[in-house]
Amino acid sequence: MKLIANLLLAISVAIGALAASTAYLAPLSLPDDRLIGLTLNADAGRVDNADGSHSPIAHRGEALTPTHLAALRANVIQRRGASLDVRYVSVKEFAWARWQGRWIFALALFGLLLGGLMMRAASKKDLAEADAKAADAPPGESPEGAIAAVLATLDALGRDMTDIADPRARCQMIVQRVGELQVTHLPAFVEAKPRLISRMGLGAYAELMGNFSYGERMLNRAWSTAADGHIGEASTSLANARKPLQLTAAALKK
Amino acid sequence: MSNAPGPQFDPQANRGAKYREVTAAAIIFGLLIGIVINAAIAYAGLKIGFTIVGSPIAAVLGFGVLRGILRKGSILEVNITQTVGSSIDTVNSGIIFTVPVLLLLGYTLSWSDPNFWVLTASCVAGVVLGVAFIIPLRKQMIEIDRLRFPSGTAVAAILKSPGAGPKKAIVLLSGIAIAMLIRFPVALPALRFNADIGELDRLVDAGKISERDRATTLAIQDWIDAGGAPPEVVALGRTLDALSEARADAAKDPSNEAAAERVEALEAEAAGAPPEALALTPSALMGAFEASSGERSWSSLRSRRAGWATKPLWGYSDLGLRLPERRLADGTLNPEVDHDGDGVPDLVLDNEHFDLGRLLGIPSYIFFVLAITPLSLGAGYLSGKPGLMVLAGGVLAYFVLNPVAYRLGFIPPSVEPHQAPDVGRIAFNRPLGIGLLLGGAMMGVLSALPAMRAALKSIARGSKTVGGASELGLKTITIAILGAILVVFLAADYVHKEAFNRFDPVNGAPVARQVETAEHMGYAVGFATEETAAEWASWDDAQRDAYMASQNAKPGWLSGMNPHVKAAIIALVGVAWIWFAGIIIAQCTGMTDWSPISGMALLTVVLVLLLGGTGDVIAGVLLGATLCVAITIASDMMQDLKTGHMIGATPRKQQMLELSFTGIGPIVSMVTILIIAAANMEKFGVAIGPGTDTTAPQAQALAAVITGVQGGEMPYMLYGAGAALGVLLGFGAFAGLGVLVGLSMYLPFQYILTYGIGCLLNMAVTRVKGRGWSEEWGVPLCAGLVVGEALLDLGVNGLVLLMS
Repeated sequence: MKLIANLLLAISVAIGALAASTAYLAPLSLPDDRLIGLTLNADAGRVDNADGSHSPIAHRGEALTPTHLAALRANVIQRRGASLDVRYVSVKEFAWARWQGRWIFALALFGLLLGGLMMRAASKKDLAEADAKAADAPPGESPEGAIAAVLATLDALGRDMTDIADPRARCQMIVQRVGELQVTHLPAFVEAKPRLISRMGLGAYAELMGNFSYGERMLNRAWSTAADGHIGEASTSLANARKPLQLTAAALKK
Repeated sequence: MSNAPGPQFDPQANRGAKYREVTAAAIIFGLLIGIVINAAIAYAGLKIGFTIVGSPIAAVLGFGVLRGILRKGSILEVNITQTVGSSIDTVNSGIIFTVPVLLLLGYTLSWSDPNFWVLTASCVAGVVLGVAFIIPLRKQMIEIDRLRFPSGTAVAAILKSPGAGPKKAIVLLSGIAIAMLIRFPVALPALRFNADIGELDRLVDAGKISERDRATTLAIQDWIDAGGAPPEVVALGRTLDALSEARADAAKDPSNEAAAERVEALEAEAAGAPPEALALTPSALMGAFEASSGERSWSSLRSRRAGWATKPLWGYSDLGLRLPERRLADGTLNPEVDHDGDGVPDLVLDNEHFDLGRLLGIPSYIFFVLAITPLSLGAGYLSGKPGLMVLAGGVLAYFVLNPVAYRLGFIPPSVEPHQAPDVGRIAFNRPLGIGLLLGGAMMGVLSALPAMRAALKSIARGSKTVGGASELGLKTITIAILGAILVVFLAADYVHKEAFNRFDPVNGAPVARQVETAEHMGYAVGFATEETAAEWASWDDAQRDAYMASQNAKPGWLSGMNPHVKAAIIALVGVAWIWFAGIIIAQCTGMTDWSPISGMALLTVVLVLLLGGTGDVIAGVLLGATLCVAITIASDMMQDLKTGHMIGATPRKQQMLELSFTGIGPIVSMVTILIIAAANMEKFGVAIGPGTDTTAPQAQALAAVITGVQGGEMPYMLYGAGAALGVLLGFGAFAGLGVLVGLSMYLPFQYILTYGIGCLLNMAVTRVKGRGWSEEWGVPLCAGLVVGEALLDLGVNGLVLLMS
């Protein structure tokens, strides 16, 4: 269904844009009384001069006259070996009745609406399936597993750091362990966004991410300050990261 | 992988010492970088029409000086430098796209002109609004929506490079080197040196100088050899010299009738000069006059300022890579490979573009040209798969919409195939794209409301929540917003009291600042004298209306209102629009790194002209400039906060600094424009635009829009249709889809294509090597690409400025 919805959306937006592009075109097939007096928004028609140059039949800004219309309807333009009739003129004024693509545009809007509804339904179904799969997945692949892994790493880091006296080695340890979290479990938790929104709703997800992001930022700070060799600030940041991440884990269990 | 911390920091020495984050050195250096880069980019932008991203440059410079030279900057301290620097150097684009419009439309700006200071004050208020409005959205965009902000990500990669180990630093530097290598042949042709007489013909044939340049150079050489110039040349030079002075006098004092008459007389005299003299450039003619009167030597005319032809440095076009020769049945060259009709196949690789479409034999009404820009490639990679939707919009516009419209005759058949993409872009891609962007943004805002509410609640609770104290409080933000709104209202009120006309409706004399005014159709009509004001009073409504129509001053929606109420409504609508546009821009830059500033400026000016009336140009430009600076700073603020999040900075500190110093940016840009305008008046007799060194291409486009609105040429229906498509596109799974699709329909596609390749590269690398590898090594390399191009362009622009 997702594929059909995507196709419907793509086709509808293309057709809608194409239909919209005719909004300011006045077909020369219309009767004179519906065209005379309209103001041209672009040069119309082309006549070839004796010196090889070209001139328009009517200039941009001019109001259409019966003479213009007669000349434009009779105008045949030679382009790259092909003879082309002038079928439309671009005008400044808009009128629903003159807009040839209005019904196609309306159809495109309907297509977009239908495609949107189908896409919503398909996404909902996908998320429900993904959620069901996640329940059976190994702990590390679920958001709960990712946050638990982060907390476990922090616990281990805290234990291991007490065994090391050299501040440089402690800084290196923080840079390495937190650096690994930055490319593994932290992004994994973030990637679970659609599933979490589907499960919790956007408001609750926003609150959850407030805690998670603060914890993540504190871990980033621990990495930066450790990379700068400032063990005091790095340790403080690690400690600051723990509580919001614990709150995140607790919120997930609710 | 080595993750050794930076070697210049000794942990033992840091024991007990406070970690360096907000320091005087970081702030002062940030201010210096910001001011210098702002002025440089403002000048370059007026000259070449585009600006450069400020944050990566500020980060690299801050990095080099604080860490490299002073050897004490921490990662977070350098971040403060780049935050302060970019808060000042980013806003120039907002000003140079809008303010020069007034000069182009014949208005004047000077130190003594209150309009200059009113505009400046309004722009300062604009940047404060931009920062204050966007601060509460940090949580929603960065923490909840997790927008990528490619430039912010690139800057974070730079800042983290010393701690990330030598391998990643090497990758980052390699990215910078690759970008510079690729970009050198694009940037170098901007540097031009005097041409030799013997190479003039070749330069004309290669299209590098005009026939007029060649003729002028040959004439100058003759004058130098002969030690004199023909009398008609000297006479015309004298006339042009006098004309330049007269124009400057007239511009300084619009009420100076004698100067205005003198300008008219001198223009007529110049037009009557012999054709052989008129065929030479004005600077050469004026140089000949100066040399003949002994003010300079004849040999000094061998300079670009005197009109001597210059040759550019080597660029890609010098490779001479041309399209394969294809001929028609009659033996003539196929016009598809020879658009300029010079009988030689066109270049497939010019200095800035690679025409892949025509190389593959695709009809030229299908635009398939790649811009040579490592910055776009890198930004595309950093955006990854989500950025690909931008490419989809471009494909829709340039591969589907334009070709089909062309084939069906919606684009006039008199348009040549290779002109169709440009005609389509102006006629419907741009308005539809801007409409889609607006509709998509509306859906984006609606769908994000719960997240925004949660973010605001969290800020309001402040220190009661975990990490809540790290955001700037709502009280400070509210005070800043209210103060800024007051300034915008006072500015709008002031300009509405000013006469809208520059010439007296009765006798056509220039209207001075302190004038009699009368109210008509919601406009303050100005008069040169009390007598003309009295005569106006005796006119009937039909006469007055006819005058207003001749000035394209139609009544606006608010024309019947009290002027103060009208100014208040315009200011409030403008401020509400700034809030909304700020979100659009921040979303766009967050998802793609592209920001449709000119489109938003266009809509602002149109909005103000609809509200106040089509003659309300100064108010339109005032609010246009205010909005532009607001939204540029809003997107920069978000990029900086993204960087801050990635390196663990405290948002409150960044927000406070940005709010405190961002007001300097508009002042620097405005003063730069004023200095340039004054210098141009002295040199060329014209403040800005065609005929000067600073053509202000973006402002010219906006000026064309203003005259278009005045002439009733705005395709409102296309904007509406685009908005409807954008709203419904966002109704599906992804609310911001309309923003992405609209963005690329409206922006130049050659950059979008290169950007799209970057997105595809990311997806390919992720598929082959895995996400971890793609992030770990791809991000620093592409951050290098972004920074490398910005640095090179800044360097070359600096050289161009020095040489000119």
